[in-house]
Amino acid sequence: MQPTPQVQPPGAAGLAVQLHDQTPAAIDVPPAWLSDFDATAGRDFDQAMAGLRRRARLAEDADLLAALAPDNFTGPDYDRFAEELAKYGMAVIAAWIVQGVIFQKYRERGLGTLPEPSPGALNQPDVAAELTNETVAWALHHFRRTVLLNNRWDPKKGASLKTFFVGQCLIRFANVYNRWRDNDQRNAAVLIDDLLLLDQPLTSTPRTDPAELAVIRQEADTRLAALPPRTRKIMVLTAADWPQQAIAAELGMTEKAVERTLSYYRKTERRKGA
Amino acid sequence: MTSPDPQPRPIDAKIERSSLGTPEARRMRARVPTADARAVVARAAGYPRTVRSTKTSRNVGG
Repeated sequence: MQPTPQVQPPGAAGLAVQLHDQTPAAIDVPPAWLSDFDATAGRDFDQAMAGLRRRARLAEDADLLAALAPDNFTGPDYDRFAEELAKYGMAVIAAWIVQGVIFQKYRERGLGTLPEPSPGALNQPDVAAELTNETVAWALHHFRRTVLLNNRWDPKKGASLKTFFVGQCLIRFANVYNRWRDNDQRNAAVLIDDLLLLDQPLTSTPRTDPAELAVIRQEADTRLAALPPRTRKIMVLTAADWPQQAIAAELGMTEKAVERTLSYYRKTERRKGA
Repeated sequence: MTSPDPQPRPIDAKIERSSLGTPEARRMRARVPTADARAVVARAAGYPRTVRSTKTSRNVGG
């Protein structure tokens, strides 16, 4: 008796699969979604999933803006959003400035070429922080006015809200940086080598005695010689009892930046002394 | 605007679901103190609607 040949039923686990040739009903989905799923067939599943997650985030970005729009992007909810957007922008821009890649990023965005500073010039804590804060503040200002209120961000174009904002930061960086550069060069030229300012102190400055000023001048020439010009000037004017507000005004920076520079210098000195 | 606001609000959930809520974006945001960010937001709010440069006809600040 011939054994009956066993026929393996279709299906990976030997389970019967009912095949049919019915045409599935047409489903109205964006073509880009289908291409992502095509990718799963032969290419990278993770890539396809990342695409879906990105689209989900874009939809959530749109939802977030829809919640803020009725109040014209004002009020406590907008402030909270702006705060988190600022944090993200500040972290990104500060990192790019300190790493020295911001000029490359600027070029890559097709925004042109900015004159680069001398090596290390932007690594000073007060400089990096001030450029970052000013850049992000202007970016927030323009982002709200020109992008959010005019509905210029479009999720269909693929850039997320945070990416769009960083683009805005790069645009604003140019003016902020150019102003800083003009100011810094002017300070470096005028300033401190001869410390003429100390010969014409503020009327409210307690130190006007020429002997005292000479001591400060000598101190600046020796101990502070290695410091960058602006930091040196801050130190000298502080030694001459200029108020931080006056120093900030003189150097075109904020009081906070003056304070931060002093704090950084003192910490450095303490480390040297330890 | 300087006091901490520990109570989560509905907008917070929306922010975390948005592109600001990706793991990378959250790490970046965590680097910046809230007080610093608030100071920048306040600075932005204080900028005039239109700023004219004294040097050129371009807008100052971008």
